[in-house]
Amino acid sequence: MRRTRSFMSPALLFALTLGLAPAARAADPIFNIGVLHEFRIVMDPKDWSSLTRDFLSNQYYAANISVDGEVLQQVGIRSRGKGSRSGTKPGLLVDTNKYVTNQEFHGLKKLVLDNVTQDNTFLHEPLAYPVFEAMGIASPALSYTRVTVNDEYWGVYWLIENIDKNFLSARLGDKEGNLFKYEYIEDYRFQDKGSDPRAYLAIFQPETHEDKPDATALIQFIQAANNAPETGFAAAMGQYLDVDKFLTYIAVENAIAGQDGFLGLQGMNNFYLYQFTGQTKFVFIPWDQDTSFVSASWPVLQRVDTNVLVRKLLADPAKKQFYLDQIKAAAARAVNSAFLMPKLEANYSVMRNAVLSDTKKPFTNDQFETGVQGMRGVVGARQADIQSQIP
Amino acid sequence: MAGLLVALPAAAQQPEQGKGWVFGPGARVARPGLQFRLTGYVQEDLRSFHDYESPNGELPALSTDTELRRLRSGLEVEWGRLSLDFNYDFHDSVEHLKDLTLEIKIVKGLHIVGGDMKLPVSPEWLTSAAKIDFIERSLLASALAPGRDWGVELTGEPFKHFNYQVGVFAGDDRTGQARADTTVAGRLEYSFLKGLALGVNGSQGQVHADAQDVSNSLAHGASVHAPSGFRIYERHFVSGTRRRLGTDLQYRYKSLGLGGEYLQMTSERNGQGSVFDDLPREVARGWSASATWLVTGERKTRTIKANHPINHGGIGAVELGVRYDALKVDDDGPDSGFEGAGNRARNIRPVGGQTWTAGLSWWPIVFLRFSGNAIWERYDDPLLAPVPGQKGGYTTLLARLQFVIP
Repeated sequence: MRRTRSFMSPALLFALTLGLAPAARAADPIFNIGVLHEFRIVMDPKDWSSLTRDFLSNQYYAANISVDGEVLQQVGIRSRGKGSRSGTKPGLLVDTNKYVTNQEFHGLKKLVLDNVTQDNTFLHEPLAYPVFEAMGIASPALSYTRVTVNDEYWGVYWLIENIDKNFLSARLGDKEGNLFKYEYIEDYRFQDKGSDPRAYLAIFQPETHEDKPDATALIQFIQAANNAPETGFAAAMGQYLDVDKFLTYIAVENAIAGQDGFLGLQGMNNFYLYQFTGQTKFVFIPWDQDTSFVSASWPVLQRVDTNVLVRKLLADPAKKQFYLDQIKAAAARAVNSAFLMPKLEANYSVMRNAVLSDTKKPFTNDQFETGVQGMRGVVGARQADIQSQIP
Repeated sequence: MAGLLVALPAAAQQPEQGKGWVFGPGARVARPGLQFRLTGYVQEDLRSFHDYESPNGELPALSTDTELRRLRSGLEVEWGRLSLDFNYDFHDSVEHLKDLTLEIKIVKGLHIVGGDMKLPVSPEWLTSAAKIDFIERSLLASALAPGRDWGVELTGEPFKHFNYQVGVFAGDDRTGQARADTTVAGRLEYSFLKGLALGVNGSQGQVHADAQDVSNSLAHGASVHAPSGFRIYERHFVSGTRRRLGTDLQYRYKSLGLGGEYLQMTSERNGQGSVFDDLPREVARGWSASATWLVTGERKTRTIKANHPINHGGIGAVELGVRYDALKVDDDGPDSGFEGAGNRARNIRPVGGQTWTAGLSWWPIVFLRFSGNAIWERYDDPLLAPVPGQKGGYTTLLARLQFVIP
């Protein structure tokens, strides 16, 4: 069988290994957040009616799309989202590979069109990911796009990089391991759910190796987090995590006042978990950050005692200090006006007019403008709030 | 099984009827009025794919490189006018039971067969996988022909040179996702010259699917895969009448075999539109033509027996073959509106493919067959081809080792 081999230069491999590789897709023109993109969908009008009517269904429909004039034929489109599912302004998942074998668009096989129905500012997620990135946490690229379906304007969407093998390869330098997407079903906070893999795979849904999902290491990780004594807990977790990186991830979530993340109000939510190939080590990847920046006043230790993994890690004074240091670092590096305000204003400038003419959004234009103004307040005051809590 | 075959003495190759229990070909036991015959075969396939990789080095989903394809065992029992046929596959992951039939021979022109059997459509499909000319069946036989199902069939030769099979079945594929409900099927064959036979066949059944039943989201339309395993056509949602109509022509003269077959399957799509509207019918048409030649001079029959097997100092039987086959799927509605590949598309984006197959088979002894095939695939729609933008050709090399109790 003839197969193509690709050879990577040692220098590039070294850079990837160190995590120094640039956010490959972030540099792609379709994720240029500095411009408003044009995403056009052409499909059978009846199919679109069905998609909007049965927006809870995952039925795919064939469509042709163009992004900034670049055409792709016979992609699969379906409704997507969890709490954000909508028939008025449906979130969309575009699968370039559904009908056309190995069809890619800028190296992507899936495109996520987030309908922004839970953020009246259109700013939370676009400002959250740069903070994760500034703190060394790989996160998806994002841009703003107008979406039209059969030439009808359906509003402003976020075009978000899908977490897939391409993302893993570009950002983590490894793609053959087990990727799980956390699917919110119930209030779950990393408790031991027994030894049946099905109990875990229902919420940690496999995104790679779907035919033969392997939850062995995941179960070991969760059970170890529950059963290991607090003494030496961080060392024990070192088998499954880069503990400092995980604490940085949690620190960012609280620095940006994230309401619905790993330490979510109603349990864990909105992340991917990747197990490196041939290892038991996992890494967390943020997702769906549209409920971040909910307030300028947000406890830096918000809900850290509600999750067994975080609670036991922070029981170690050294790790707690590291966590607090990372929040301070986040505030100094990214959660401040100097870093975020120019981005906020640039994003606002890019999408404002399109948002105002977006009649599908579940907010009024006044709510949008008020929300943006409120966001300016959060961005302007959040750093000081953190500093007041961690002098 | 191989051990059993080897253990059989060469002297016991000819059955002796009427002398108590006698070992016959393979494993056959006979006594007056009652005969038992053990049947079975094993097939191991090897595949190699060429030209399927895309510029970024990825391969589409194809069949596996090596595969134990079939591990069949069966028993045939004859007692007067009654005969029982039982076939079981130990390897099939979907359903082990293949055939289970009881036949009553009333007169030559009327046999009644009941049980689980192949529906009488497409002679290629009705031929045992151990005896087909090429390693893979033609596109029409693999994608459009029905499967096995429980039913009652009348068959026989009421007139000289005229055979028929007609039956009523519980469905058209007992284990298939696309199964229709009660299906009638039949095949008529007339040999109007020595060695030349013309057949017509067809089936009709009702497929029931409720598009509004979200708990039943399986599509019941045709699923078309190329011999390489590449998906040519995604299964669509259908509901209503499924009708097959086909014709075939077979010619055998000494060592030469020629064959041609056409089969069309139409499926209604009542209420299967994305807004539960009726859609134009799905129409799939396939045809094939093949030629085989036993270069070692044996007569072309369904079971090939070498004139000079290697255990008698010969070279066995060698057959060369070539086949062309093609299949297209479209709808019978107006060619307007968005032409989509989706499984509820009103205007189905037409797809199709053609294959050329060159084959070589060698029977060193009656129990053993080695086959090698080279298959060249080409696709009508370059966008939906294995490598987008490239219609063909895509080459698959196949090899098969087969042990059989003939």
